Formats: sequence, C-alpha cells, structure tokens
Amino acid sequence: MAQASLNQPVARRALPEIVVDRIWRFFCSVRAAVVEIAILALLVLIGTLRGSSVPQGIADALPITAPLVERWYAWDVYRSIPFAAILTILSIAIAICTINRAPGIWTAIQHPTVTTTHGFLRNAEVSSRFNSASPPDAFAAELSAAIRARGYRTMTQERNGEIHLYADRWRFSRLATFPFHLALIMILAGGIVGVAWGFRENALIVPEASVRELGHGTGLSVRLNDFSEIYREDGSPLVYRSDVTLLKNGEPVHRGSMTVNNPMTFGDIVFYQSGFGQAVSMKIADDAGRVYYDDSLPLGLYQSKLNPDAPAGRIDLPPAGVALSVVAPDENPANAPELDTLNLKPGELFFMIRPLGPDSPIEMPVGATISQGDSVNLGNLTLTFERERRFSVFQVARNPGIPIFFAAAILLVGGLAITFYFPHRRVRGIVSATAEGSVAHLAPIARRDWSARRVFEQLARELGKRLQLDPHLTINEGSRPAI
Amino acid sequence: MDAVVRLSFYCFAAGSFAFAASAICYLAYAIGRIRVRRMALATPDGTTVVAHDARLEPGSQGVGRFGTFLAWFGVVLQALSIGLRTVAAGHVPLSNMYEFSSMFIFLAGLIYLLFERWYGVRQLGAIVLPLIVAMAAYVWVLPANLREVNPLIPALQNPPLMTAHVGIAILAYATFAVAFAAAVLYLVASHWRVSWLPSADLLDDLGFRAVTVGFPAMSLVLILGSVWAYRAWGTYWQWDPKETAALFTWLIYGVYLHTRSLRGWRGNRSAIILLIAFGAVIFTYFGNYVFGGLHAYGGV
Amino acid sequence: MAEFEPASRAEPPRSGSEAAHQRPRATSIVIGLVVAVAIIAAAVAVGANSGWSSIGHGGINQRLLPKVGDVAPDFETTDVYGNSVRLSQFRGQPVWLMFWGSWCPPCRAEFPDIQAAYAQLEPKGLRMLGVSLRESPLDAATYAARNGATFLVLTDPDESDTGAAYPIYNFPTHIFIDRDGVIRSIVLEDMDTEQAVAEASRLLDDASSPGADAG
Repeated sequence: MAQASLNQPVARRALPEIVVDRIWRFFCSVRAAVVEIAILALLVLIGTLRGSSVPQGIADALPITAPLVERWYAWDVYRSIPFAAILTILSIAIAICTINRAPGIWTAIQHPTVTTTHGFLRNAEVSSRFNSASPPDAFAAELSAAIRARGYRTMTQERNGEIHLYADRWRFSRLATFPFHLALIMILAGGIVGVAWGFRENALIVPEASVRELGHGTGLSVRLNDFSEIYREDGSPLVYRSDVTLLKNGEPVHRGSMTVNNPMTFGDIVFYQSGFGQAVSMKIADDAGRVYYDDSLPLGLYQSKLNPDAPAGRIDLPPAGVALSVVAPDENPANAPELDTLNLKPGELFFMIRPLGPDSPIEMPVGATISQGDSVNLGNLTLTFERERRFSVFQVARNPGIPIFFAAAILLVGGLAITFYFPHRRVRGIVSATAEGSVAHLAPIARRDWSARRVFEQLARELGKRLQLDPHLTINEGSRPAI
Repeated sequence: MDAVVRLSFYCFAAGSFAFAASAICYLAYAIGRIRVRRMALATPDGTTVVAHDARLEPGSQGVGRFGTFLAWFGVVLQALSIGLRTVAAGHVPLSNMYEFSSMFIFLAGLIYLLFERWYGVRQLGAIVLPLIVAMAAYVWVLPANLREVNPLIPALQNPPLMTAHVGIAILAYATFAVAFAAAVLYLVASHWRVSWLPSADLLDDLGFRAVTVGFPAMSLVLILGSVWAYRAWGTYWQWDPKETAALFTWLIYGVYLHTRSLRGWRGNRSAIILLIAFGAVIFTYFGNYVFGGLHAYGGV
Repeated sequence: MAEFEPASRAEPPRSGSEAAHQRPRATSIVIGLVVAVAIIAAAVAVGANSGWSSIGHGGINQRLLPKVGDVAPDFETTDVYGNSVRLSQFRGQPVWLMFWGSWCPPCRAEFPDIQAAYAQLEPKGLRMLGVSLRESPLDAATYAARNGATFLVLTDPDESDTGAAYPIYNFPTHIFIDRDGVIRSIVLEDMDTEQAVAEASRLLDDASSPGADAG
C-alpha cells in the first residue's frame, strides 16, 4: 500500500491543473484514506450509540450536554448528508487509488528492479552469505535454480562484474487488494441497485382467508390460507408458519408456505414471515342490502382511547360515510384495569362508527358491544361480528442488488485471504567473485517485518542444505528498536 | 441428556481452574523472579556486614512450560465441555451468552497456544490467560438458567448459519484478543528494558498476524450476518446496533491495517490502535446489554 | 499462517524469543498429572457444593405432557354445572381432549373451526372434552354457550385437578386419545377444520380396524 506519487515537479502549471492534481493526490493518499475510514468509523459509532442509553448516561452525568444529547438522539446518522458524503469520498478514493496504483503494482510484478546495492544487503536486518568455489556466473545459476525449486521466480542481471539476483514468490498477491476494494464499492452499489430497482414491503398484513394486494407494480395478491403458531411441549415457540396462495388477476399462480428463516420465493420476489396477531371477520351492510365490508380487520395496530392496552382496529368506509373502530377484550385484564372503560368479555367486541365526510348518514359517534355471531344496527348500517381469526404479517422484497452483494462478498473474502496468506515475498542478492571462487550475499525485503525475515531464514537454511553450503545467517541486532 | 449437560458444565469448571492455574504460571514466567542474594562482607575492624542484593531475573523455563501444559489441559477440557453440550443440544451451542462466552474461552485459548507454537514466545500468555480467566469468571456469575440447554427460538433456527456466523465472530474476537495482548506486550517491551521479553518486531508482527486472521474473519461475520438477515428478514443490512458495532470494529481494524503501510505508524502507534480496536471488540461483544435491537436474545 | 513452521522446531532458541524445548523429566510428568487430577477433583468438589446437580434438566419448563403412546393419565374435574367428570369414564370411546381458555386469542380464533370439526365427527362416536383453564367457570360456560359448543366443557380454573398430569404451557393444546386410553397424537397449535378432522379421524379409523376391535 505504498504511496505512489504521480506529481512531477513542473515549473509552471495552470491553476486548474494544480487543483486537479491536488484533488487527485488527496484521493490517492493513504493518510487521507485513514482519516476517511476513521471519520466513517466515528459516524458509525455515533449511530450505534444512538440506539443505546449511553448518550442519556452522558447527559445525566454532565447536564450541560443535555441539548447536545437530544440532538444526538434526533440525528438519523445513516441517512444524513455527512454519512453519504464520507461514503462517496471513500468510494471515489478507492476507485482513484486503484487506478493510480495499478500501473506501479503491475510494474513491480512484471518488471521488478533486479539490481541492488551492497549497502542494502549490509544494512538488512537479516542476510545470508554463501561461499562457493564456482565462478560467479555458474554459482548464480546454481543458486537461482535452488531458489526456483522453492517456488520462487528468479531474475539476474550483470553489472560491474557482479551478478545481481532478484527472487520473489506469490507476486500476484499484490493484485488481491483490488478485488477487496472493488468489493467494498460493489456492496454500496448493490445497496443502491436494491433501492433503485427493487422494492421492499415491510408489513403486508393478511388475515386468514383474506386476500391483500401486494402492489409495487407486481400485480400480485396474497391470500393467507392458514397461519400456525406451533409450540414445543415445554412451551417454547417452535415455528411460525404461513400457508399462502399468490394470485395474479384473481387466478392462483403459486401456493406455498414460509416460516421464519425459510422464506418463500416466487420469481424474484421473496416473502418472509415477520409477525402475526388477531383479526376479526365482519360484515357491514346497509338497510338496502348494500355490502360495504366483508373481510377481516387486523387488530392490535391501532390504539383506542376506550381501552388503550387492548387490541383495536380501525377502518374508513368512505362509501358508507363512516369510520369504524373495533376494540377487542383486554389480553391481560390485570394490566392497568383503570384504563379499561369497556370491560369486554372474551368473545365480545366493541364497534363504534364515526361520521366521515360531509355526506355521513350519522351525526354523532355511536357504538355497541356484540358477541361473536351476532349483529347490531348502528345508524343505517348492520354490523355482523362473524368470528375471530388470525392474521400474519409478511415482509416482501425484490432485491436485484443481491447477486452483486454475493459476488462482492466472494471478492472481499478472497482478496483478503490472498493478500494476507500469500504475501509477496522478495529476496535480493549480489553474487561477486572472490579469490576462492564466489560469494553470494542475499537479503529479504523485510524491513521491520518479522515474518518475512523468518521466511527468509528458512529459505536460506534450505538453500544451504540443497547446495551443501553454510548459509552464514547474519541477524542485524542493531536494527531492533530499543528494548 | 441431563447428565451430559451436567458433565459439560463440570468440564467447563475444570477448564476454568486449569486456565486460572495456567495464568498464574504465565504471569510468574513473564514477570520473572526476584532473586535476593545475601552477601556477608568482612570489614577491616573484624565485623561482618550482611548486604542484600535484589535483582529481577527471567522466569524459569519450567514454570513457563507448565503454564503451556495447563493451558492445553484447559483447552481440551473446554473442547470437551462444548462437545458434550453440542451432543445434548443437537447443534453447536452458540445461542446465548453462556454458550458463546464458553466458545470464546476455548478459541482464545486454542489460538493463543497456536501462536505460542508458531512464534516460540510464552510471555503473551501472561496477558491472554488472565483475559480468559476474566471471561470464565464472567460466565460463572451469569444466571444459572443460562446453563440449561434451551431449544432454539424460531429466529435462530438455522444451525449451520448460526454456527458459521456466531462461531466465526468468536474466532475473530479471540484472535483480536491475541493481537491485543501482543500490542500490550509491545508497549511494555518498547518502554521498559526487559531483556527477556520477545523483540518488539516480533510482537508487532504477531499482532499483525493475529489481525490477518481476525480481520477476514470479521469480514465473514458481517457477510454471513447479512446472508442470514437476508434469509430471515429479507434485507441484508438493517443498521441494527449490533451490526453497526461490528462494522465499527471492522473499520477500526481497517484503519490499523492501512496505517501499518504508513511509515512511522508501525510499532507504537499501531499498538495503540490495536488497544482501541480491542475496546471496540469488547463493546461489540457486550453490546447486547447496551442496545437491544435484533440481536437481543441469548438471555441478556 | 502456516507459512513457516512452528518456532520450536524451525530454529534454535534465540535471545528474546526463547523456545527451549527440553524433554520433560519424569518428575514434571508426575507433577503435571497430579495437578490435572487436582483440578478435576476441585471442579467436582465445587460442583457438588454449588448445587450443580440440578443443572441439565433442560428446557424452559421441566414438567412435560405425557408422551404419545402413553396411556393418558386420568383426572377428575367438574363440568360448568359443578358435576364431577373423570377422563376414565370415557374409556372405550375415542376422546379429543382440548385445553383452552376463552381469554386466549388463538383459542377463540379456532373455536368455530373446532366446533365444526366436532359436529362432523360426533355422530361417528367421537367424544370431545374441552377443559377450560385459568378462568372462571362462568366465563368458560358463557363463551362456549354463546358460540354453540356441543362438546363437554370442563373447567379447572387453577389447574389443581389436571395440572399435575397435564402441565399446559400452550393454548390451545389438543390431545387425541384412542378407545384404549392411549394418546395417539398431541397438537400444540391452533387448527382449522380440515386439520382437526384429519387428526381426530385417525382415532375413528383405528377403531374401525379389526385389530382395535379386539382390544
């Protein structure tokens, strides 16, 4: 992740050129990238803590921060402009960094510098010296062959009567940083694709035996045939399952079931079991026999003032000119009984209609308590409480970003694994002539890299064994930081 | 089955004791021993003066080796404990705080011991093992009902994904604990002259190596979490606090990896980032206590 | 990770990174074994003193329903008029035993379907007992009467009569018992008519088979 700088010192440049160059360099800089990641991390931390009581704790400890904490709780970090901005900047930085670094890395892989200096070898933290009776060119060839046998690639070049040697292995690992960083951009892209071309219905509520339209341009409706809430005998929940039929233009096109963790797929649309509750089947007709409602109304999504902790439902019936609310008995009568103004028994419901719109047939709200199977007349309407049912809540999504996401996941993990587990290892050396024959001085490119030194030491010992020479390992203790 | 669960818990208890004893050995080994030498000096006027000379010396090899032995013993017992619980539950036990703390203890111990073998250094144990013991102590004070094997609630009924997602998360946390220990020892080794501590370069490298295991693991955790969320809820990212806490941790280690390529950041500053990052790991691990959300199960 | 071999084998000890591996002596082995045994003994001793023997009964609730294949345990409770009823007095007839409560929304949601299923099977000799739990006999009787229940409604408000043999955690719980008093199936969910008929018919099908007639 070395910083490659493109800027050549040019005497005079136009201002736009300087600006472009500055921006380019900003996006190329690892230092800037670190700051950007740190800012992103900070925003994520702020967002995470927002979901906890930690800010409240800060406000309690330091009352002066209370207004700030209030704004903290109010700030939807992940949908904020700074968050989008930092993600954008990071994406651009990744893209530009990639473009910028690719040529350098490619050169380092394909056309590395073969020559080195004696100074480099002398100052290396670890180096190895082989003495041979052969002349330099013969020994260099012998050494190269031995190194190649260890899975390295070797290159030699003659300069000033000495043979410079370069060896490396796993050089393509340097490219693995690209799929990793590309994957990060792809994950963001997948998210954007999902939002732009997919849809997401968070709560499609369907009572048993009822049909509800899915919408979102799918033309599909969902009929819930049966909802089951199955328990184990020790009382723990086992399965929540919905058995549904999908309809298109009123014709069944698919029948299936879903449980939590096992969604149902129809084409590219996925249905998830997400919740359940109780519903009431009822029929509303007027004296003339005109039916305004013959369906099930889910309860529990609405709070009635008559008994705020009881399941209640509400529906507007504009053709009838009324708004209907339904209240069921308290699920836990012992809980806040003073709020309960209805005192319904199980099997009873309280119906109330209110005027809706200017042409409403009624002037005042009217209500009545009725039992399952019974009817009541309110105004000119007859309300029949047919029976209680259950309803199921589905999440429905079509996400064309998913394949992008999965591809990105593979690139991300693969890229990381190659970068970390097959690191590019490099060795430099010079073979020079001596009175007895030749000496080869080898050292790894491993500045402050303990593992690379270890790998080199092992390589040197193996070369020694193979060539039947003493590797003369020198460990440069002086290069250690003070301990 | 009841007996199996009970036996599993006894194994955990024995493992805890083994780790505690091992921690003591490692500490004795890393701190070294104080050798007091008594010297009797004859003075010219015929009396003797007794002088004491105290010096810190490297800990004995025997104590260190014994620490390693006990740590392996603890790891084996812990593996047995988890294995027995797997048999009793019918799936790898990773569904509540007791179960994943138990897995953390096992993996932290195992990964530490592997690094000990690879790098040939024992002093790190003086930091990792007390961490393990602290985690074991935490498990001991958890409410007793968590020690029971309870059936999975519907949201968790995906044993393969649960094993992969939670298991790899704990693997990541365990390697981060080793990286943390290396960073602490690095800071000690580079600030005080203690000749028998491993070289600073080695510790820096060990910390980095641990992160090279932990960071891809953490990436996998985020990915598998997304896959699971997609299967169970239809969306691969929900900005759930536990998710974002894990993302925060991942980003901090991302900062660590990038700063290592900046000259001058290797070493001291890298080590400090590792300390901060481990703070993030602890925050993520115990986050369930702070922020409910979608990960609010497992008895916390 | 395994790019290089374990240090202890790869190289001689270096300053700083010691890795001297000598052969452990016999005394070390003995000490190691003694300590290992001591640790296990300590765990056992601590466990015995900390009440761990109660660990491992598993599950959220420890008392469970009788199993399928068992003879259904007898109980004696009362109907809504206060008359005493025993389960065993229905021996020889297939029995659909339901535990319910009018306070339970799933029980109410399935109630019409259950009644419809029973109405179909009653002529074929099925007997159904609906034991109402955790509510007053009046509430159970009122709800059952208003909703046209034709099965025998029993009430055991505090579960004192049935709780010991039938610990109920799920409402509704359906238990299907054959003519011999053996539990043939247990359903821990609310059913629709179709499912209820299918479950209950199995008791009748068995009863009509020659083998069951003999017993």
